Amino acid sequence: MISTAMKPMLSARTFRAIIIATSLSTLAACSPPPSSKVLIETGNKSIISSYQAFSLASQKLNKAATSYCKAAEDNQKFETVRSTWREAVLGWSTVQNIQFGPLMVDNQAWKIQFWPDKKNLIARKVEALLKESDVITPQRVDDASVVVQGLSSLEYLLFDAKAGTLERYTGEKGQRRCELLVAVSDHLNNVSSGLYNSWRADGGNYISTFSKTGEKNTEFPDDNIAIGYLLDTLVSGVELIKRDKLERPLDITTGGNGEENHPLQTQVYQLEWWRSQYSKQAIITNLHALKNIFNANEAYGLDDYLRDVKQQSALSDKINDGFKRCIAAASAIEGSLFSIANKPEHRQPILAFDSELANLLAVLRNDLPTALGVSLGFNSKDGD
Amino acid sequence: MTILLRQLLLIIGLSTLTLNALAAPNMPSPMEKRAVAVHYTDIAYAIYSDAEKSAEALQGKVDAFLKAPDQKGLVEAQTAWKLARKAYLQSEAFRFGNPIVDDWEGQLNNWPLDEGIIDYVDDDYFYALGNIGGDLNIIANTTLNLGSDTVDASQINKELLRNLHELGGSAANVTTGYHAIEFLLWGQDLNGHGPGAGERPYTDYLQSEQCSHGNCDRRADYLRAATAVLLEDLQYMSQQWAPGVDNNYRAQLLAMDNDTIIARMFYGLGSLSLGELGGERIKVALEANSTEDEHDCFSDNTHWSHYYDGLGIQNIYLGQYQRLDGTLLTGPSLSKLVASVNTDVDKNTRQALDKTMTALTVLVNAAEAKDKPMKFDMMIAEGNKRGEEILGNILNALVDQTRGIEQSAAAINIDPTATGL
Repeated sequence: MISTAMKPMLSARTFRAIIIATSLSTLAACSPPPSSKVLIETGNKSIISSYQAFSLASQKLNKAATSYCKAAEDNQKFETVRSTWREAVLGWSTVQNIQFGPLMVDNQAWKIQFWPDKKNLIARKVEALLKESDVITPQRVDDASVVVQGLSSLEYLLFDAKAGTLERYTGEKGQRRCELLVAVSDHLNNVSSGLYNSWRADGGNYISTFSKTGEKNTEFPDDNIAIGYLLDTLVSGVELIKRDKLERPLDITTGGNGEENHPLQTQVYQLEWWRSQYSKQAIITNLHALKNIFNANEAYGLDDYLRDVKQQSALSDKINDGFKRCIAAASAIEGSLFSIANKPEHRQPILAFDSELANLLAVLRNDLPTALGVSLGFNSKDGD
Repeated sequence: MTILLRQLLLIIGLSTLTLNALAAPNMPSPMEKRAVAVHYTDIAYAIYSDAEKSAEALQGKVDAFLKAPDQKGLVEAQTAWKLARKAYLQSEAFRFGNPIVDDWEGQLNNWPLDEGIIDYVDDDYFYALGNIGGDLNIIANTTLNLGSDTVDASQINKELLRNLHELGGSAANVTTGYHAIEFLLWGQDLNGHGPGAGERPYTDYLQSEQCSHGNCDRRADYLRAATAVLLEDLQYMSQQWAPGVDNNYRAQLLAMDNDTIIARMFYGLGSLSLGELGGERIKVALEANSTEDEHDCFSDNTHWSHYYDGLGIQNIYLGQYQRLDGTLLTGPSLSKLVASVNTDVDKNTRQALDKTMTALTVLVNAAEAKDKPMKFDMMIAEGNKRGEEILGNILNALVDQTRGIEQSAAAINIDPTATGL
């Protein structure tokens, strides 16, 4: 917050103020410039702690699955596996939108989630694997299609109306299903802890790559490029929620103005996490996480940078307010998106949420790039 | 898919702008930009006209085949279908930046489809969860039952197929376009990751007691109608790009300011490279080991589709297009605009585009090899290291080329997202 303090003092133009300002600027020369500080603090306070939480949640899920499979008829333990799966989904939702770094290498994200599953591949590939005779190990899961890996596969194993029930885990065939449940959760645990370790200073130290920019840093030759990736994360994150998580599955074409004059043609099986009916919670967590990245989890984030360096406090507040409004609108939706998708009486809150997302997205896409002095690039979701 | 492999555009920072102003490289003049924009519409007109002509040729072969169905006629129709894809795939570089193309392309090229909406399928057939049209089988049913609604399908004609396309809002309900025709010519590819494409017998169209799989008359009607729809659609689009037509898309586009048009050009190239070709058409199939996500899954012609998509992107950047009759159309290009400001950036982008074409040529050569050809559906099999490498190289090249496209746009101060869309 040095520069916030500095500005009014300089404008005061008193001798004392200049002295203080000089000493502060000396101080500033030793400490990183604001743009670097944004990177360091966003990386450390927001991103790394999200990866850590996701890794811990995956570990917990793996333990719960292992414990359950020792006594597969225990309903309470089965429910524990389900609830730890939910926690892991929320953990994933905090890092899902990050557009750079270890998550992008070798398709880590796909190992965690396969969505949308347009052709019901998850059910088909999981059942095909169960019919094989090979021993199921995390390695076997790693060699297999991404479709049988990660949270999506686990969701099928834990929540599918036919395949994800306690009964399917009992008996001779059930044992193999349990082996798969444990192996997939083990594999997920490896993937998520791998991501966390790649970021940590005492691990792969990606935090240093991200925050120490310069000519020798081929990925981030200067701070603006790294800030551009943060911008991308925010914009594409909100875009993904609006278009893929809400509008496409729920057939929203009005742009949120509430006037719909065609019969609804929802595609509920394209909702994220439809089997567990957990899509709304995941969306809310996404929004909290994106807001958290914007604010560097209350440390020195893009919000402060906008305010101090770019003299854009109004925009900074507007973005934070936009996130709050989106979160409130999503929280106001009653019931799961899957269950209310085709109920006209539940339509209004959904459209209201969509409209808030549109407002936020417009600010992020139109105003934020200009204010930060960076611009948006192409995105692999630009296809159809 | 879930990953957003977004590549970032760097420039436009204040410092860069200042630098540009100081170093004062002359930005392309409005006249130069205009020439590139006009040539872009000329290329579009040539490509869509070629697509139209080759669809006409397909229609000729289909009619001949249906008149006297035999194996030779079927193969000739299949060959004509493959030729008809050549110009169309190159036209895809006009997608994404031009709404008229995107609002229209679904009826020509939607995939993957739930083919059970059209005709008979194997017992192992799966369709998208919740799709009310997934096993309608229009060919076998004169009345289609849609829960509370019924549709009279006694006459299979263009109107019926257009009405049923994307039934229930599902993009898997594909009743028109190249892939519907492909399915009618090849049938399902039941070989999974093994060698071989669809093996529909020509007897499926015999108008006699030897008709296989029933309803040969309706199947012939369907093929005839779907081919006619395709041709109509292409006629419509080539007219949209024809010069001297009042208020067609070409006229509307050229009424926009130069930078918006050039942004649309770049936007189409980047989106097709990374999101569509790289993401949807290669990466999903490869990572999921899913033949369901193969682009031309009935005919195993996917390698050529990918190749011509790549070529289409390169065409636009270089301002060139080789017509189906062999003549080469050349003119003012993005490449020249960029080179006039920064030769290095232009060179890098051209090299990146070349690298992609080299990687796509490896794909085509492997798929067309005389000895043990490896088709796309074999490459995406679990554990196929060579296939993974071939496709991985294409993906990497597409990522690099997208970065090149972004840098080229930045070099001439174009924000590719400022498309006015």
